[in-house]
Amino acid sequence: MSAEALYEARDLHITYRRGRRPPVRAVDGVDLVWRRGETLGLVGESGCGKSTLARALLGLESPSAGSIEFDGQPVDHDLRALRRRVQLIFQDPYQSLNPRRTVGAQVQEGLSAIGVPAGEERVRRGVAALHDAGLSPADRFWRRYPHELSGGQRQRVVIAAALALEPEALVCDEPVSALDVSVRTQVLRLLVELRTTRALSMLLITHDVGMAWSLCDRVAVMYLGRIVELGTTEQVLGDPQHPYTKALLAVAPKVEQRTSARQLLRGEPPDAAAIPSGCRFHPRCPVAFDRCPVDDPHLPDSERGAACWLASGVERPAAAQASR
Amino acid sequence: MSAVAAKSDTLLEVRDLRVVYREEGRFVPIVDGVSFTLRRGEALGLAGESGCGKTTTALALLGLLPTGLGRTRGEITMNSTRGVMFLHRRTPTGWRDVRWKTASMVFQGAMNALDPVMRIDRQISEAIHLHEPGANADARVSELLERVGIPRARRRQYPHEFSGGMRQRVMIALALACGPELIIGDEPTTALDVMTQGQILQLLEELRRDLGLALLLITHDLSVIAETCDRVAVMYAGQIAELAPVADILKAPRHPYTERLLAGFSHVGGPRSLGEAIPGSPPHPGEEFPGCRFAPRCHRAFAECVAGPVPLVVDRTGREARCLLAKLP
Repeated sequence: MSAEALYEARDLHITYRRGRRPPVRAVDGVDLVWRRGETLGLVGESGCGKSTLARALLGLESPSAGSIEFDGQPVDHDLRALRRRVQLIFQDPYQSLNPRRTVGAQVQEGLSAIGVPAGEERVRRGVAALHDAGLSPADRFWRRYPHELSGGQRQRVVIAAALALEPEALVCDEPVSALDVSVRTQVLRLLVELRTTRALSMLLITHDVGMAWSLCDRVAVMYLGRIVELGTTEQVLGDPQHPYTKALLAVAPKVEQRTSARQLLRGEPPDAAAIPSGCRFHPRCPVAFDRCPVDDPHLPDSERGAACWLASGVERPAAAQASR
Repeated sequence: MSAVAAKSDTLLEVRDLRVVYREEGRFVPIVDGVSFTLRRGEALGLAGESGCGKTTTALALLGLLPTGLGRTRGEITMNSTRGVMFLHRRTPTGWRDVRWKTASMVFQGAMNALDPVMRIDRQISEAIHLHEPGANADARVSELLERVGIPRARRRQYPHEFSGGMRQRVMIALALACGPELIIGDEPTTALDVMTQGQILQLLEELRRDLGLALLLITHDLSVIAETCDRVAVMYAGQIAELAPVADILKAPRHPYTERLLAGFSHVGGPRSLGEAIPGSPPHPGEEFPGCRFAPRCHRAFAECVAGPVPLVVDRTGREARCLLAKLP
């Protein structure tokens, strides 16, 4: 694996201020490197800040504090180039496509934005992108409107529009969640194929740990605005250290019958306007002890680690174990 | 007397249900000859992708088909503790005695089903009064909300003050208000987060165990069914493609559609690659098929598959599969 960083976030904060009400700390101190050529998984519950982080990668959100660099330069250094080189694929193709424009027009849109003049060259690149996204022969789709296509075909149009710009990286935010179950694997297989043929770096945002397991090289687990566990996929999902990662794995539905009781976290999904003191996970944590509400554990600055006192070698006092 | 009454552990029997809508002068079937039974206290999963007819089947069971859809064939028999009910003969007013009291439904978007300007405790007591005038609703409301895990302090709040998971708990309390024997859940956890989904599934399991409820769980997500149901019916293009105990279908699916759907799930610890995909996309309602409806997308299809309609094969144990290969050794 190449060690060259495509993106590097350092103590990144994205905070929304709301007058007198407490600010929403959507991203709250993220340190993360996304390397060139790798598929990085970003896993967590909804509302944990995954999508805000993705928007920051595209320069759609500016850091409130800290920094985020693309290819060694601040993200907003050259937004035009960035938005050609990195493409975003959202969950819902119904919302990312314009219902009143033809497929052909929509795959050319990005090209026109980067200054490719209307004409043969632009059409040629649009057709090639449709072909690569599995919509061929392209002339069968060129004059169609989104409503005439199936959900899977629509997501392929979205992918084609991204490919037309010949990006280096794709940010995929729950790319198949809105699709029919029988076509999800098709679309995922297409992404995997493109990753190889086009040497794409990929960021896969998902709540589905099974999908992360089969597609990602490394996985970052996010909870309430911060990365709480990081490592290779085998390390994080195969041998989780953080109690939150363990809980996510325990609750993930599998296609097998449940043999043991569900291990459920107590309480509600977190509120980014009221982040708990100390370890932000402690109110829901099954193994929290007296240090956790006071001291905020940080992710160690290394390839592999978890932001948890127990994972960093601190012994849980015997009294805490007895009381649970 | 129907066969249902004879077998007293059968709660619901659906025979050859067909629901159609009219388009350009012809009838387009959404549900095309669906039959199944549900035992008392049993959980049956109804799986399939959007448009396969699973929700329409459920709506037909409660007489809730929207305008434009009609049941043209089929018998629905409910063997309630209050007597045998031939639901297919019910008039609109007759249905009111069935809904809530015998069977009730929990939908996906709880926000759409709850009245936004009414406190939740009142919504539940109104439902009780509507079906049982003069009943002492207050005590029951407290008991129901406690049962589904809504804290006492939150009973007088409005729906918008609750999270998605808590609203779904309110919906479940509402569904339980008149003591039904069957709960139909239509994607009850689909809009929820993984952790909240686990909590709601847990609650449904507890209710089944404690109250002896039967559950018809409709979802596109086979993993949810694998976790919660005893048997599963996989629907494709308005028909049942396969029906079997969950354990059997997970071990050895008999319909290629089920086989590929299951292969599409990745799980931690399994292979680090994607399973085989199903080509193409699901058919539109009204599409005509000379033979098996899944044949155009099937990896095992052969010439006979498209020669004529494929019958549902039922084996000695009651497992069903609509596939020509299912009867070969």
